[in-house]
Amino acid sequence: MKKRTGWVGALLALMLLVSACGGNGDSGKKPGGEAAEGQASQASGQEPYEVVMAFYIFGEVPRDLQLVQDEINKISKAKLNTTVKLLPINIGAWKNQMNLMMTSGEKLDLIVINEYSNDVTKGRLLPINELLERHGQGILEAVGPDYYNATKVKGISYGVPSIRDLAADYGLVVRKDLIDKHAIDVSGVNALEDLEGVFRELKDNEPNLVPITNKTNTSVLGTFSTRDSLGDDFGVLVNNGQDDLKVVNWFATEEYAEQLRTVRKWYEAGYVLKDAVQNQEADVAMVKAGKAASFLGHQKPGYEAQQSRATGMEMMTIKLGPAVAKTSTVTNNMWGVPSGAEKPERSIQFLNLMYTDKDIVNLLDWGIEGKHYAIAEDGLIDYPEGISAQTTGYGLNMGWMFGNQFLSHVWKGDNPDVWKEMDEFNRNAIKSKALGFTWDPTSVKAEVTAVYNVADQYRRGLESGVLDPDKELPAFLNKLESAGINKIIAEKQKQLDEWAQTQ
Amino acid sequence: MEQAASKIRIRPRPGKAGSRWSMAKKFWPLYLLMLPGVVYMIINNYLPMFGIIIAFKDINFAKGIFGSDWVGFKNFEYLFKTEDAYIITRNTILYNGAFIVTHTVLAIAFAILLNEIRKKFFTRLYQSIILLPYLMSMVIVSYLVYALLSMETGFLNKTVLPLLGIESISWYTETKYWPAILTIVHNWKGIGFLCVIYLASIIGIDPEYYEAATLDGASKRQQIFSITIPLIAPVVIFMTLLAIGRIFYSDFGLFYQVPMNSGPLLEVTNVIDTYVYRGLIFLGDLGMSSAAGAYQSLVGFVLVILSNYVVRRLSKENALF
Repeated sequence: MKKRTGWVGALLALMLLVSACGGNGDSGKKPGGEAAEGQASQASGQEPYEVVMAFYIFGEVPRDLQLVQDEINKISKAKLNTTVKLLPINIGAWKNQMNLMMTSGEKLDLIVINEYSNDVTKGRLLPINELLERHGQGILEAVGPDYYNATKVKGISYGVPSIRDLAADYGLVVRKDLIDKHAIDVSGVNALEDLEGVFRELKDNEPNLVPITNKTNTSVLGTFSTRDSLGDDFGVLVNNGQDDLKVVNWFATEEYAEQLRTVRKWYEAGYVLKDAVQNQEADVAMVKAGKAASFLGHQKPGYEAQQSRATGMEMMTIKLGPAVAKTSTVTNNMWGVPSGAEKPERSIQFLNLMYTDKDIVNLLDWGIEGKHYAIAEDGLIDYPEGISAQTTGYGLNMGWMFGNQFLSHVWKGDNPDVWKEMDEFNRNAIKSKALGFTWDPTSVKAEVTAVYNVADQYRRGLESGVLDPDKELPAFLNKLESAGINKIIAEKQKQLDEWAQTQ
Repeated sequence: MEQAASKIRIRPRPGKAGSRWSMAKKFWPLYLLMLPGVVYMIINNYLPMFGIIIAFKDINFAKGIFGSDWVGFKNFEYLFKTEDAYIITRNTILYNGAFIVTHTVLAIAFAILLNEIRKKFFTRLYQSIILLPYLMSMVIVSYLVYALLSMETGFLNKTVLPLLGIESISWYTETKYWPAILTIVHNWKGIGFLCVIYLASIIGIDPEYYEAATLDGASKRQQIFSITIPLIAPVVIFMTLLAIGRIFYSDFGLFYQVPMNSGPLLEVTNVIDTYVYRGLIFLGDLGMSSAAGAYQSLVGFVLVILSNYVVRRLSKENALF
């Protein structure tokens, strides 16, 4: 008998252990939450509700996230009787985790969208037009009708862009000290071909530097564009979509061939890394390490300051094109309500605060005043005494993500008027004729998969000058065709024409 | 667990009615012991099998998995549609086939060599050294390879080739070297693990066989080919069958990270897994990636059954089932 109880005991212990492991962690609400509940529900006349807000981050979860969240909740509790639970997820795990959370029906009320078209066609998002009109007037006002309309798919909006740079202009970011030291004349440079002279001077005077490097996982030209990619570059509008709505195969255009020949010249002259195709070092890191002098990138007001901070050297930009707003520049960072959200109106109400409430925006962008940042006399902010980028408990530095960035403080070193400039930049940017068109590749999935593989095989090599365009470009075009790019272009044209009729 | 079960079956009590029930009564603690394992298997290995329906559906998150529309074999189309389908299938099977052969031969050779070392300290030392790469992440391995092959800083291009008077080679754009490079890297990385398994079974061989063979004047070579290898054959067959079952899966890290995702090499480095990854990283289509998984496991399943059948025809006692 004694033996038997031993067995049962062991088994029971095992079961307890298993059930303890699987136990849910969200037992009980945050302490202190209940205390204020009574008054607040009177204030807004609503039931208390917790909004779970998921977004991706690039590093570790900030140590003081909970403190920031508590501060935000103080405000939102008073205004809306709503609390928020911040759910930062590392970008590497983001896609998988979102898929899992949504298929398993976990609580999720507000998410960042970085693949708008995909999320809409897969039914991940709720339509929010009506909700925005009822609960999100502040959002609509901040976004403005032009950019709000750019979010509509077949007349319905599933998300709103954060207020940041909604357009992009392309150009070269280069070390200013080198340009000054060797008195390189950059005044006449306004196209890709003109850069050759600059690179020659750099190469001659600084033989240990590579004049231009590429961003990780893309080619030298990967961060340069004169076209509206219409989502994926397979079928584009040339000239930034200023001419007409004729979808063409970008890789077969004379302009593309010309760009490839230019880069090939750079490569042969040694202006580009020989290892460009498999270079794994970020452009900024290369400049910082003194191995490269410049890179191409899309820009915005305050970009020089941002890149100077990142590289630790004074950088300047040479513009190679006008600022253009395209669907991709608007929809690459948006907020939306996932289809499983319990009370979508509460999500939108909280989102409205992120577009209108200065305090909430600053909490999300910079953390708590006095703890994570301090306001100087000129109104700019900096780390408080004794705190640095390495020791701060809240260093997300992702203002472009959280709602209305124009409401946030300006960091020391930036132009105090940067938000005003950016607002003008957005307003004055030329707009692609297809701004607002969202491409749905569902019906040609098999072709898109095949074409992606072909593009992966050739683009980085060609666009870094490693492969000879005279030989490899025709092969590339051949393979694209047999992979079905024409079918994709035809489908895109069809969707674009249908979209144009509803405008 | 299988052994325990078969032992129980050998000793039925003749003449007793309902012997099965009484057996259950007698051995219930053993069944209890088995229970967590069975539950684990059901939850972890059998329940997810229903997920195969995702491969036949157009998943829509608003409708949920069960509510989404059936699309038949549409999700599978992209795997067979283009000329790439031939390349990726060829690459996957040829590489894995070559890996299985080289891996087995080298691992057995190393295991036998290690077994012959008399100084225990050195056996341990070599064993650890051979095993070390197995514990490394593929990302680290890819940088080790890069340190050898890079154009700007690579050891081969900067040090070895100039010594030999050969011009530097752009390794990451020349397809012809990569079948060899990948095979070398794969063997260097993976051999330790297999070697340890084979070494364990060699150590398990009764030394009397060798004593008898020595008395009869058998040479070392004869001992290896007539005693060691036949006696570890079951383990070799078992490991090989397992490997064949995974012949349609490829080591993603090896084919994606080690060539540094270099486009010009795709002809010889694109395998099913990397093809699916490249195509779907943008589309993010659950149905299509499940289709690829279903296709891979189906082919693996058929191959295991087939090769087991062949083994059974050749020598019955070595077959798995």
